[in-house]
Amino acid sequence: MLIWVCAYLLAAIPALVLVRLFQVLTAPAGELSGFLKDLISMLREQYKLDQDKRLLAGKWAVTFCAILLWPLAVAFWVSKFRLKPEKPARVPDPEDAFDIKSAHLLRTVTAAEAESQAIVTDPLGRVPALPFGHLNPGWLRLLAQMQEGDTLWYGEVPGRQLPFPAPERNVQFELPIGAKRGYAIQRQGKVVADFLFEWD
Amino acid sequence: MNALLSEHLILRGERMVLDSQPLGGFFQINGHPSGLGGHPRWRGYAATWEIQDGRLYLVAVDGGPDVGLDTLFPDNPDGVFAHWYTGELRCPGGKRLQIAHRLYSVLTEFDVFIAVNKGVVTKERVVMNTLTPLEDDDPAFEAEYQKLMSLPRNAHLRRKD
Repeated sequence: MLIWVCAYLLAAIPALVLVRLFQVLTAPAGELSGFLKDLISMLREQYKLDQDKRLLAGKWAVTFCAILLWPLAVAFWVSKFRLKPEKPARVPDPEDAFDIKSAHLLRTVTAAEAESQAIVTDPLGRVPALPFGHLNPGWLRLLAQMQEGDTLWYGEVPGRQLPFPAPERNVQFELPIGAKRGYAIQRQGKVVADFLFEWD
Repeated sequence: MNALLSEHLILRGERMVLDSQPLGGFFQINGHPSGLGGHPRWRGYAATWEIQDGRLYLVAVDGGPDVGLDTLFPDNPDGVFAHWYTGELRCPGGKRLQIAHRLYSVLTEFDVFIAVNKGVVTKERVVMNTLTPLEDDDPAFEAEYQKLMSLPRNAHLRRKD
């Protein structure tokens, strides 16, 4: 039923357009009917009145805001000249230079234990038969920095887990990005050297 | 992602763009080799990797005229077992959909993800970026994988090394 009503109403649109077209084409050039003239002049007057009202309202709004907000503007200007207490500069942490920091340390190990867990084998023989394989030079550099009283730690840096299941626009990684594992030397409670043997 | 600067992965005989940099940390540990060329904002090398018998190998490095696999690993000029890598490799494939906002690369019609633990592949999966993920233990995985790779627009991925 509703469809029929809509169809009936829609059918009236072309009919009205045709009637209006006929009126325009048959009317003397440059003249409009009296009714249309009256209508247009009335609308113009109404628009002018509305415009005046809008302008007046705008002026009042600006005045009102200026009265309300001028103290804030002055306070902001004064605050710029006030002496601000200096923030204490962050003391640089020596651990900043390393991937593994004290918070990442999990357990102490000996060099022998670490090496026993770092045997890498490859069926194609594409890795040297040394602890940590191709990374052996880095491991040796770490051991060379060991001093008496130092402790060797195993540590893990957690990666970032991207949203999963991800929205359409994200790449759908399942594993964390940027996870790292390695060993670090701790001296007097601070990491002073590290060696990564596994990372993303 | 600029294909010229991309890493590549040879997977099941197909050469694909690799959206990960397993060699980046290696240079961080062992120092950047002298003579590594390239633009300062670019990492200075493009590496080619290969999955052979479920293991990740570095098979080529293009780091300018003076840096290659034979100079970085003189004892293993044919390939290097990437035992240091644990993570998820991503190979984008198909038509480009949009620039990804969270990562530096583009989002394409599908991604091949390869989970690697200490250089050994533990899992493969294909993610259609408009559909649900298809795991490698799914019976349809192999058929869908082959179908995707055979699409005409992936012809550039089928180039043999």
